[in-house]
Amino acid sequence: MNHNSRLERAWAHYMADRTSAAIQLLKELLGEDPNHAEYHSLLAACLLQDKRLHAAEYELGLALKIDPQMPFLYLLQSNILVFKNKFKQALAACDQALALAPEFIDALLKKAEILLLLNQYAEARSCLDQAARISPDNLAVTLAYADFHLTNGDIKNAETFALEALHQDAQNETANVLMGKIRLTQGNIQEAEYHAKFVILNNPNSEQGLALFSNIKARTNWFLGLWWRLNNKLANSTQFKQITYLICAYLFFNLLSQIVEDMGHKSLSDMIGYAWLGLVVYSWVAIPIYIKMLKKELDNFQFNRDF
Amino acid sequence: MTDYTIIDEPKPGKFNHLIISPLIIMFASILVPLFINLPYFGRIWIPAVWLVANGLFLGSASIVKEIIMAIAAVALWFAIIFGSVYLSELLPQSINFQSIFPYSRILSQAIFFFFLMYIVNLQSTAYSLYEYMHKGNK
Repeated sequence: MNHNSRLERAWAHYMADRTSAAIQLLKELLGEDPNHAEYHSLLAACLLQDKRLHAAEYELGLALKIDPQMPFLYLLQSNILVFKNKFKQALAACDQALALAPEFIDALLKKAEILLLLNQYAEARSCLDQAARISPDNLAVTLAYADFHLTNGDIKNAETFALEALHQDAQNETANVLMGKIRLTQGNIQEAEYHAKFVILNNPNSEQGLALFSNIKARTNWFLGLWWRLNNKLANSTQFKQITYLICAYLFFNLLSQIVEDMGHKSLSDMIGYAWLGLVVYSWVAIPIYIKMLKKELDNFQFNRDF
Repeated sequence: MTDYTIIDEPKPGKFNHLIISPLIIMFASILVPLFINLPYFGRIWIPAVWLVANGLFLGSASIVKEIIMAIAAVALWFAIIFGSVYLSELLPQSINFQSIFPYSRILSQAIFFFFLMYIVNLQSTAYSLYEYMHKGNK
């Protein structure tokens, strides 16, 4: 198979979230030609998707050395910087991509997304309008508009754009999540649940689908909702954050237990000790229980005919 | 034709049969001291040395960071324990050292386990890649 068709296959794998397959193909391609900027850049994109940040940055650096005029590289750089919460620098990287390719839709949408995160609504809107002028029927632009209006609290316009996006692609994950959020804001819990479950059934690892589902649960029962939110947060947070939570809990329980014991309340101190033990045991079983409950919810679920 | 190697991929050497999951080392370091009293503060330095050795066998890309963290974990644990003993000698007789010691023990344990878990976290990435590559080659 020639280089171009393998590169095309790697792109297809990347777009379909099959990063392991894409990485394997790119490693083969780079073994044959290590000085190809596009191979390095796509590899960086795959590594970023797998949250291998250090390796992604390294590959991006190599690609930039080979071909600094490639606009996609600056978009990728912007994605990495957003991941690291460096929004101002991410914005500068987007501008660099747009300086090289002023009609680069993905860079315009990324810029709008960052501006929205920085609460610069007018500038974000102007980026979206520019993207819409370049490509009026683009699904990504429609979705970005829906998200923009939802963030601004303009539910009616958000609904119009989300419906339009669903007309373009009813299976689209982001469109379904956005519609679910809109329905939840409107108080239509049942329909919001349909969208969330539709997303999770199509992609059980969808972080945004699971987050929406937790929010829906929180609406119906605050106590159960709190449990769902906590587990969802733990399941989706980085391992470093999980370690920090666990150590903070360890310090809190043990120091409290010691203080209470020093005050002469031995039995209360023992109870705090048992509570800590319970938390440790629970932390072992929390995620399997969460996955089991989610599976149970999805197994017993039936969509109504109108959906 | 050899494949390209990504910077964070492990490069195991001739001792790859000794590689084990870093999670097993962590659980052993928590559970074993509950049943066996390891001499010469073994419950502190053995897990750190074992993790570093595992990282070396694995050819972990973050090995330098892991070694620094392991040294910091052991050094901080000893610094807190011996520091609190030293402090107790400076304190006036009216303050009972026995009442301070349990707090310094809790603090030293928390700091030690934080560093230990951090090393395990770093090594887990390399270990999962190693496992994936190893299974892929079978």
